[in-house]
Amino acid sequence: MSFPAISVPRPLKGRSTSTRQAAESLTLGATANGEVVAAPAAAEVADEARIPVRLRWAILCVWIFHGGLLLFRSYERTYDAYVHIFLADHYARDWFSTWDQRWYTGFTTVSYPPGTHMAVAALSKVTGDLRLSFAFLQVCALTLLTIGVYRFSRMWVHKEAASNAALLLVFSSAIAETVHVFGQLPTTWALAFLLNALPYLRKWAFEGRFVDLVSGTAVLAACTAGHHVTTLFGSVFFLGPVLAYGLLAQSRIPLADERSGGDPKLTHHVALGLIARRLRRAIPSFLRIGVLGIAALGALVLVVLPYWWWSATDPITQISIPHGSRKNFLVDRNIGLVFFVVPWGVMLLILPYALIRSTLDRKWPLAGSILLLTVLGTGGTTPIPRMMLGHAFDVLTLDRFTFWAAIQILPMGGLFVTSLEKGSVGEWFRQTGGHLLLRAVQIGFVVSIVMMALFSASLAQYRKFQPERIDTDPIVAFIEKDQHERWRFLTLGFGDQMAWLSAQTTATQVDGNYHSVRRLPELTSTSVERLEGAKYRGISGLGSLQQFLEVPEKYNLKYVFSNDQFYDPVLHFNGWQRLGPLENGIVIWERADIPPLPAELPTREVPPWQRIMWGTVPPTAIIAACVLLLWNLVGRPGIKPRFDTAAANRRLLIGPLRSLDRLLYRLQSDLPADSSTSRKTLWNVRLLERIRRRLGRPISTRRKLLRTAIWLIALGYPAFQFATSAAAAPTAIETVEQYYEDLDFRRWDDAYDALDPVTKPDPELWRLQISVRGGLLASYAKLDSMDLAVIEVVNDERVVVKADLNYLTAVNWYPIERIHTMLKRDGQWYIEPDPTEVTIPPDQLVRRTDVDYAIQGRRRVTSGNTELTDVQDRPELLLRSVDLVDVDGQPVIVGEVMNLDVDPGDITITGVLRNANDEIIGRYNATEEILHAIRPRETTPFLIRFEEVAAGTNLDFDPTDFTPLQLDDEVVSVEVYAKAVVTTGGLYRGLGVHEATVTATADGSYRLEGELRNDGVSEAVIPRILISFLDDSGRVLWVQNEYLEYSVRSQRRGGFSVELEDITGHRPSDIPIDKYHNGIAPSSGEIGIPPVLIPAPSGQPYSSIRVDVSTFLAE
Amino acid sequence: MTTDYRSALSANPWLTASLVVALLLAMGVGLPEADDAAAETPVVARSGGLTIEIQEEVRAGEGFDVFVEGLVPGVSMELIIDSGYGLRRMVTSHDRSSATVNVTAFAGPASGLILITAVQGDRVATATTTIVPGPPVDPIDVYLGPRTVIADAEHFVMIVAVPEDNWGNPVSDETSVLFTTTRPNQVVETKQYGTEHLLAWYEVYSRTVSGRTRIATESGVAGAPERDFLEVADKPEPYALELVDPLLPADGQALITVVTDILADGFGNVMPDGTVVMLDARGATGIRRVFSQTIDGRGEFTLAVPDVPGDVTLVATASGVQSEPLELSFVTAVQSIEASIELGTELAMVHVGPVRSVRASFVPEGTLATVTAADGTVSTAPLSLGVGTAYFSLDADLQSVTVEVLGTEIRVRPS
Repeated sequence: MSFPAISVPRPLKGRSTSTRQAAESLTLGATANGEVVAAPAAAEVADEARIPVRLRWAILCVWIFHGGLLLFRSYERTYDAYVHIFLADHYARDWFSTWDQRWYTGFTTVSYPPGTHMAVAALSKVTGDLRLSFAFLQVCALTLLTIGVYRFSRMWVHKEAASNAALLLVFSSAIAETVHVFGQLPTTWALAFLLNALPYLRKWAFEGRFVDLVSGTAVLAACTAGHHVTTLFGSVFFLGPVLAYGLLAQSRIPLADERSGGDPKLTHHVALGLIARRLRRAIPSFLRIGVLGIAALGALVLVVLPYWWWSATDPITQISIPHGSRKNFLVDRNIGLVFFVVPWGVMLLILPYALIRSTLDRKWPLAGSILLLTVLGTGGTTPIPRMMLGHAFDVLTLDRFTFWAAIQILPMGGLFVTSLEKGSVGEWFRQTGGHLLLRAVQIGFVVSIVMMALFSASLAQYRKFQPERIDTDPIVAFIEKDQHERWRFLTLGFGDQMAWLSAQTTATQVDGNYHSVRRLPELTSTSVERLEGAKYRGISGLGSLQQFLEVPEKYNLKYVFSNDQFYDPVLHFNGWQRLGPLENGIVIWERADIPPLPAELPTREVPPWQRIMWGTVPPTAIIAACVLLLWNLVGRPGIKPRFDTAAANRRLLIGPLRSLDRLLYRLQSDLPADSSTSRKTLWNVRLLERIRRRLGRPISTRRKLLRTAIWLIALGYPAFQFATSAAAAPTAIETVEQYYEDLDFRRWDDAYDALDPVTKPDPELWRLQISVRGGLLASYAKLDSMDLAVIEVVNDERVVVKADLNYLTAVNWYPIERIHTMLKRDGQWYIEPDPTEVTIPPDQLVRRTDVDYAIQGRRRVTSGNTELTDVQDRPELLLRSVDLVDVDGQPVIVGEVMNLDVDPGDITITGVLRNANDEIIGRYNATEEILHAIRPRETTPFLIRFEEVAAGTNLDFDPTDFTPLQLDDEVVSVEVYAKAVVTTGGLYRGLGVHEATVTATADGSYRLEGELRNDGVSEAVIPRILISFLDDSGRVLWVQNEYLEYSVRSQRRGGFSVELEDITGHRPSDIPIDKYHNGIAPSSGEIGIPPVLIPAPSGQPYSSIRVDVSTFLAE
Repeated sequence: MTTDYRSALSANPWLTASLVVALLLAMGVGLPEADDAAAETPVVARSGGLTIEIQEEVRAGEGFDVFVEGLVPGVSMELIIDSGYGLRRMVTSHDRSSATVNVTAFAGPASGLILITAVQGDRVATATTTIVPGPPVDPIDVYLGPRTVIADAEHFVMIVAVPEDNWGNPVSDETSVLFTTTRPNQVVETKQYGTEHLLAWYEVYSRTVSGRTRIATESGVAGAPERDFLEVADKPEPYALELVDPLLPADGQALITVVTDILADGFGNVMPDGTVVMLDARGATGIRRVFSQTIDGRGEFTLAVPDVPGDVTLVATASGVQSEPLELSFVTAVQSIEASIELGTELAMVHVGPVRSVRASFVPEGTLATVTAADGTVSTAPLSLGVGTAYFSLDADLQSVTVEVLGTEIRVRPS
């Protein structure tokens, strides 16, 4: 196997200008007007065609290192691998389809170039496994990328350095992170094709052989088929420097008809002539670059034309999704580690060398590109990227620039390795510390490169980006059973494995893992990337999730597969029933009474011609590129090996170009010859030589010691700082802060150590006391923020600290205030332990009778569908009272519904607002302010707020603040629908209200205080109280919903204190309300109502308060 | 043989006149319209002389012949049979001007009017016939709802039967369907209804005995699966509460059980299991509300006794109907309180306990002891450590304190 000769500039070390020109002519082949200045010797060509040993090693290392990791499914923990596998699955199911129903209620697949996905899909037909195909193609892409880096490097550096660059690529932390942490196949794939296209494009521009243009354009088209952005930005950052450098080199090569003697020194007298001369030398290349630009544009546009068409005709207004790469890495160092330090890795240390060396080598286009990419990759750390990118800053993921920078530096990195191995850098180390230091540095460099690559590749192991692997088979089996795929589902806590789940089924879900194509306003108007990981976006994420859970019938959303109990409260209190765990531990939640999807879902396929194009052009481009690369690899059989560039250049200079050439010739013809001999050696070469001499100069022992000392200080000081900063005793505030962080992250031993050693219970007892205190804060909350302050200094050894803690839960956020007495013992602050509960329940064994229910069909075991006669009757509901209330201009429906039936019901109350034209202008459900599951003859109050699709410009909206419905029309009529299905869950009524009182506070508000006693046999994990404000006739005026922060164990009590909402501003509305329910009041008389619990305080618009209690029970 | 009509007419004016009169009569009276003709005979003529002849009625499950006249020999003819359930197409070719095409029996439902269309080239003829359904066969589709109803003789459920023949055709109107209803008390009622618009239905009014009512459905020899519904009790009649356990002292911990009478409606029907009943307590307990559900007609509540002696009023509510109040008087649980004060230089230590109950044991673990100093300072601590004691650290200039446990107070001075 051999590569065709790639003409490259030789190192300029110690050469005269004439030699340099000859060397450059090797690169360029011919001068502008056609005279061949020099040609590579046959031996050189043969040597060039031979594959270097280190490149062979690099390819082998790719297979062993990356192939090995991929074989062990490193992609399972990555961000994007499953997304690409999902898209591959799309094409595997229907090659020419451009619409996928499975995510976001449908999305178009022309939104992403299909090359890699189609390749995986096609290969999966052979392997039978999408994941294996993905891994195999990733290895192929990396192999091609290794060759591409070698070929790209050969355009900048000599063969040995290019081989080193290929080796550096294999162990590049950027590649390791991209492949094994980010799971990017299109990026590596497209970059591999791009780098392999560049030599052809360069040869076309400066040698003019048409076959190079064809080869380069075809390979570039394959790049576009994989990832169009790489083509777009690659043209700027990769092809641009190559062409710029080539043009500069071309403009320095004299033509045969020029006056001999070289260019004169630049003065204002000769400036015009010099410019004309330089331009004239590069006219053919300029022309070819123009052709190349058209070809590249064609490759970019035509290959994925449907994508551009879609972008232009169906723009989606998507609120910017926050991305870590846009943050300030100095402020958020973890993000900086992931998006800057890790991808750069050891190359970051080489960056100054690369910039200086490439500049001194007159490769400033490369240096400029590296520098620009580096700066853009710093994200929000500096204002420069935002200034340069403008609006695009909020759209692009800037880590891509860092990735490209880490690739583009590789040629210079390879040069550095060569220099360290046998050049001036190595000589400097040898002079400083002898061979021992040199070897130590060389080994250290190699080890650090490999270790960094290993660290990057296994970063997901140290820092969990994804949940543990989920066995999706039981979920797929559930979806396929009993026509469950007729409804949409949602996953919670799956990470990117949700894409793998979707790839195995045709069932649809409202969420997805490709936010760019979302269409639902509920999703496009928020900054939340995925609902399934809503909690990681804090309040705004949970707010978005709630919009789907509260009105699931709008999306035909019936099932939630939860891998994170954090979401249990929001599911339960919005009426979702837990069906139980599958064998893989995933808990299924179901919302009753959700209409199934229609048999035929609407699709928005692109026109047939675009579908045919989408299904044929990108794969054709890839196949053509592969064929051409192979054809080039075997030496271009079928065409003449030699090409007359001079003749090609002459053919170009016709018509106006000929005139231009003559004009430029005349302008430069008067230039004097440069007779100066002192300027034959350029300034950069002289400087480089000087540096080299200085680095390799023998030094005294004293200087060696000095250098060693400087190195030790430079390396040792940060370590010293780190060690000393960790040893300082924390303050009282820091102790409390650390205590709560330890509690939040379940570091029990560390938290226990913060307690006063004199008064704290023994560790076992303390752990026991902690364990029995469950509930919303203890088990379903995440500490969001805390504000600590010393509020009293008793003496030097006793202070009182107030901790304002803000907990995030799935249903709300909780501001909690805690007061801690801090004691100082032996110079260390400790927290005085909280008093422990000493009450004991009266009975050792509690017996409680209950009524349980089971819904079952009355047929023998069958795999058939549920028969009509096996479907339970809808329980009869009676809307006892319904009123419309005007609250600050917003309509709110309040009322009361009773289950008249003898079956327990899972109820849904829906309010509809209509305008004068009888059009619906608002529709929403009673969400948390209702008991969704009620027993026979039980009554529940309810409240319906009409919520708008949330978000907009505010990226961190607060769901508790509520986004009111924007009503453009006046509400003329109101409808309220009550419906129910029989349920067997959510019926626990063991909690009772004790010692309930209403007390006035100093600020004029009122608080409802009391205790909940749990007389049942289950722990009330998240108790919830519904407070109804009633008028004289018992009609519900308002409903307030409150969650208790701690659980109430069986046969125990838990206190509550709730501030009652002020409803004095509420105005009853006289708009007529139509009630739709299936219950009829018994003829024997009026339905009885639950008696009031507490009379209202005087002066309030309500006359009494009723309290209903329910709870969430854990498994 | 040929006839010269022009010569014949000119030679015989009577014949000419007769023909003219006949023509005028035909124009004046008018020819029978096609539909009228079809109503009288199953033959309909259409363009080009193509006609269809078919029998008026066909029994379901039987084939029938279609006689077509006016065919052009050698040209294929398409026969389209539209039953309303679907189309059947037959293409035949004949060498004569008429043909009889046998249409085989429909394997599925096809009853009702059948439209038969013969098409040959651009000529079309249509005719109709009726497929008469057969007798009903097993099983009859029966639907019933709702499946619970209040047993007050006023509410009803509806049962609907959809009998079909052997081929899935709805049976003819007025087909008799017999509903046999067996009440919870084994009283049997029979009702017979004829089908109308494919269905037979029956409003089954409840009676006054709760339980499961079962309905059998028959039509001819065809039967159906049994359908049933529950007749359930209406709201309960007035009822009372009963204390099951002896009245315990007010130690704040012990539990007492209160049950309702059997909750039954005016007809004596017991409330179904699972019906919510709530209990409100007021008085020494403060305001309380606890929940239960009926089991065997009773609601059962467990209440913790108050932690202060006094009267408590209990009222239960079921289906909006409140019980008669139950008055309970709780006595103190404390027999004796021991307490002492030790004055120190900086602090005074108040030692409370042991506190003994009326049953001569310590009061329950965790019972709160409240110490109120003369200046109004209130301190509360649970009696614990298994010996019914609690300790309070107060200011040293203490003169006396009031110790309160479970509503019983004593005054203590420094010893």
